[in-house]
Amino acid sequence: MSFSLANRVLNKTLLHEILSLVENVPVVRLTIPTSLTDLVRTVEYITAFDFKALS
Amino acid sequence: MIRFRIASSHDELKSEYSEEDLVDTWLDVDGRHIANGYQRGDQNWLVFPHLAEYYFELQSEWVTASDNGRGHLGEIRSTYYRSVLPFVLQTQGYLALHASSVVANGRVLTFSAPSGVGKSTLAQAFTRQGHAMWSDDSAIIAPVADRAEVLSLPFHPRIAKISPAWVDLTENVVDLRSIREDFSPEEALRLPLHAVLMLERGEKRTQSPADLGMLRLEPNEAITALLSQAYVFFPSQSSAQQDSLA
Repeated sequence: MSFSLANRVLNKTLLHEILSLVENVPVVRLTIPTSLTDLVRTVEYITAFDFKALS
Repeated sequence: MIRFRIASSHDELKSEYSEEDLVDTWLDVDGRHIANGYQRGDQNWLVFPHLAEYYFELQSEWVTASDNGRGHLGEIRSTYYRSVLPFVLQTQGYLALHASSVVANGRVLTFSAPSGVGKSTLAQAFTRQGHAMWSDDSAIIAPVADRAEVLSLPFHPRIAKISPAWVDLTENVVDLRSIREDFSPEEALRLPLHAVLMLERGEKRTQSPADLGMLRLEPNEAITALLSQAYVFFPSQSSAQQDSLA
């Protein structure tokens, strides 16, 4: 499902929830591979990744 | 408690919406129309033209679906749990993200992205390596003090395509055998959220962790990315929500 961004910035409840999340949990960009072989490797990288180091 | 039922007739819903009550329209990734949202006061309708109408009021625990005569009951239930319940939970103060989640080392990793990028595929890759799937297609997040928790929704994901017209909503159809008709978010199982990963499709081979481009987003980037993948019914603030924030 695709959401329209323009009209949701007016919802203060949603903004409150998102600000709280961004403050307490790392939000990380991840480029996922297209090949299944690389996908297995990606899982291994992610599970070993130290997300706290990004804080 | 949120309770779901399918009305025996359309007349049971009693109230009606008009085009003046339209507050949002949802499209699939190809721009095809999926559903409309209507709001009048505390009354809310989610209308899937080829399936059913879902009705709920802000202060009521009931969500009622009205079969439009063409929908399959299984699809009506499946769409409720996958696409309607997240909207209802958002009105109750939870953050509902278009995302799949897995459990790794006792904590939840949530993958969020538009349809077709690969969040379910990545989650399935985790399950093949022994990690548990925690949610599929929507992640319900509760802020708790200085952290966040992800709720377990009342179904187990099952991969099964129904038809191209509904691929966006039902490509991972809810396993109806495991559905409970009542759902209490307060009593749902919860696990701590470790990280939210916003997925982008890559073009090159992954040779090293650096190729995954894992970077923590700046707050303004994170807010924009999360907004774009959040379920929200009301484009503006309702009086009930304002009260809940007070």
